[in-house]
Amino acid sequence: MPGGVGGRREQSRLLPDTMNKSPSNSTAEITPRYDTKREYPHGDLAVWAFIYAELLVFSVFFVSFAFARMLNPEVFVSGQLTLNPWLGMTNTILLLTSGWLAAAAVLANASGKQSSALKNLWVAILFGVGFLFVKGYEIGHHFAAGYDLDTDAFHFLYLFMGSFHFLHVVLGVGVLVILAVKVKRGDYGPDECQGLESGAAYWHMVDIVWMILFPLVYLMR
Amino acid sequence: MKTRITQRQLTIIWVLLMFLSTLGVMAVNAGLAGLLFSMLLLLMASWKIQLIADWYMGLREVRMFWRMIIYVWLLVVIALIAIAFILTPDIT
Repeated sequence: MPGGVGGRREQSRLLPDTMNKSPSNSTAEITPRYDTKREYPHGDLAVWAFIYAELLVFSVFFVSFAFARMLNPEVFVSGQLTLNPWLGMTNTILLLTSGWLAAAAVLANASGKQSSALKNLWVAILFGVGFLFVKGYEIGHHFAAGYDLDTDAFHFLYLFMGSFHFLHVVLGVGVLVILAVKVKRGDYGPDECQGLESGAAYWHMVDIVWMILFPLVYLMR
Repeated sequence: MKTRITQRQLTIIWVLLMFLSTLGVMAVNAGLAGLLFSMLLLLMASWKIQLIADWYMGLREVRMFWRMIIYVWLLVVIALIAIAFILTPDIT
């Protein structure tokens, strides 16, 4: 989302001109001073409301997981041993790299480098699809090994949260594909980047969720 | 005052995020576990989320109100998870 110029609206706050006038000289040059903080986040506010709501939903799952673990520590410790942290790490690398590329795409678009933005978006999509393959393999492997939602509290929450996040990644990849198509069509540019910024913000939300989900489910013992 | 995020800054953040993530897995692989280690992982997760929100989502360029929503959410979630882990009976 970095570097966006705000598209339809420049949201930096202009301080009153009177603050910049020299009282001793009526013809003094008026120099606009900008508060460098934007009034609103990059992208559409409705998407941000959606992002905050999604984070709230995921937080309920995280806290439920932690308190369920408190009630059944043996089940959760033995359940964690059935997971492969390296698969989780691979997915972390894939998501973080994809997020970095999405941010780079927004920056490139805002700088008028649409071909660079497009390239970054397609590679970000590739990494997102990579995440889906690894996660799909992991969940499939778990079911094949005989674990399912009925096995115990750990596997219920692990499979439920993992699948729910998986669906968000599917949606995110879909959004990135649409953004890439629109960038290729020339729909976005330095003066119009709100849609691209909104889509990228959603993709970063998926990253943020994984940053808690991964250590909580795979690593914390 | 220069506020615009650059490609170089994005890359530095990416390297930092990768480093922090790899560190956690390597520590688990080395046999580290327990309450203190879990708290450390939570702190690292919080830092990573702050980096993503501020730099990738561009919230560092926005009024504090929008950042506070994420920060307060993060604080509450991490605190509740930490409380649950602290209250968990030690089975080792």
